Amino acid sequence: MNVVFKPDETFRDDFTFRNSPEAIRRFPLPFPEDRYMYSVNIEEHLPGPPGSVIEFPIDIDEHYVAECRERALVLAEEPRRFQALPHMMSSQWDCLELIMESLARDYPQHFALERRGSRWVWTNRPLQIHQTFTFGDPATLPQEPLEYITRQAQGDWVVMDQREGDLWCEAGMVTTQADWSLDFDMGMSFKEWHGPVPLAHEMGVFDRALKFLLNLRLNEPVRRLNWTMTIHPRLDTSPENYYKWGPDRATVTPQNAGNKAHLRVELQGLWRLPRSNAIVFSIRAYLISMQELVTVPKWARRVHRVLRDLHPALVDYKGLSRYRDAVVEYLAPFDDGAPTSPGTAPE
Amino acid sequence: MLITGIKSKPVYAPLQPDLRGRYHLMVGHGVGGEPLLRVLGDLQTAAPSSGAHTQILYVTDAAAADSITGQIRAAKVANVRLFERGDELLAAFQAVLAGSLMGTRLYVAGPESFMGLVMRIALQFNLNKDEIRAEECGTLARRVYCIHCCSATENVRTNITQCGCGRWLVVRDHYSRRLAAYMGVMVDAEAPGELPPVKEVFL
Repeated sequence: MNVVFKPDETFRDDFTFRNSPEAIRRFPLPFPEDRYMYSVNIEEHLPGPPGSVIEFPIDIDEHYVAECRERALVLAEEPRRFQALPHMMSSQWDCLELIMESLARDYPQHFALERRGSRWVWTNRPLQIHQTFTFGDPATLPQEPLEYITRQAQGDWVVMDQREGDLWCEAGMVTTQADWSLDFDMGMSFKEWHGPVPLAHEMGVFDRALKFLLNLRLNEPVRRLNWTMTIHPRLDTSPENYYKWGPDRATVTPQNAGNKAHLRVELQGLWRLPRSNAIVFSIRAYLISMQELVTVPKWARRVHRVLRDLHPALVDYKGLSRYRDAVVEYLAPFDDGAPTSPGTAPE
Repeated sequence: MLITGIKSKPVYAPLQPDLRGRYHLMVGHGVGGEPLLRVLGDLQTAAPSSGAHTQILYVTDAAAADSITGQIRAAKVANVRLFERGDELLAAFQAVLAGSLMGTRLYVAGPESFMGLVMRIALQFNLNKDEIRAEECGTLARRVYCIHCCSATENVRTNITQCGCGRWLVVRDHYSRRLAAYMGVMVDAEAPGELPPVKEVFL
């Protein structure tokens, strides 16, 4: 796909973010059925259809330039959104390699990587970056390797060290998160980190997910989708800034829900890293407003049914309590009760 | 948002002697003296010479009976150090760990907040789970980390507490060993001024 960037979009203040019709068609709807409950919905991260968000391992879309600018704004105010414990340096270089190689291979019109031994030359045309550096020598980059490369990537990135039969959250760039804090969760084990998720522990989801991930193999990445909702196209819904975005939740009405309420879908990818044996976990958020969503009739019916029938514990956990009913009321006229076809494709 | 029943809340267990340890370091606060004396007794019964490789750091506290302090002072171990304040003990503990050897076993007993501060230091020295025994006793008052202003409030006994930054925080069970604190999140962000009833819950 030849991406046309929309560099001036914003994810704060005047919220000018919008999806083009093409972006709507490729939106990764996370509901293959008309109802939703947790599952260990992990699958191999294999290439998907051309133009889809899974065509390539790391997706670059029309929001790329604007999302990178949004990240820089968050970091300017809160540098601790990037953190890495000292023993994570080798995994930082692993991540840099993974992202640079993927982007240069899959989007040669935008990115280029030249490797001459340990001397690397990286070109990022959309962000107008041209950097020569020595792979393995942090002094040759303007930031630590993980910070450097994730300032040029969409989505959040968390690196988990593997030891003692567990995965430890010990490095990351987290500026587009759905209400969890890297600063607070740094150093946590897999289950501690996921502690605030209701029901799933009791269902054994994390036992199985951890066991699966401990055996994740090099060159065999996996993915899953997760979702929540966000008021306004706001990428930074961190606990740190909850006092800024929390009040928005009380402003949703059936009349404004189409414009204000957004489905927020996370495409989560997990890769084993070659040198460090760590795992990098990418959490890429896609936003779509309800009025954009209803342009696809099947999705309008399906999301209406999912939200209407959602388990009360999930309504609370996903922070929907104050506005779920308003969104359901907005969507109801778009649901004629007709059956929906299986799967998530638009029609 | 889940407030209680979060899996990151630490779970402690009654102290048991670890006979595989070559050195035994016991750290306690107030009523934590009782389990320390108990595990010391068990250890010395099972391995009579272990006292020569055992040291105790202990904070005396009005909440604990004087007899406990007396028994700790009189314990037949290589070294006993008593402190009047928790922060003095933590500084000494850090220095002891810096000089400690492989094969050291750590035994910790005391109130919630003290446990967390000791465990945080143990974590900084990369002690692993097999090397630590910890038993909680005494007050469940919490250290609470304000996720908005990044400062910690000590001795929180209520479900809702006011942070130094002025915000009212709801105290969640989500716990960071690295910060030795529970997460506090602004309780009335979505509806300013709407505070749930304040109750004493961490006694």
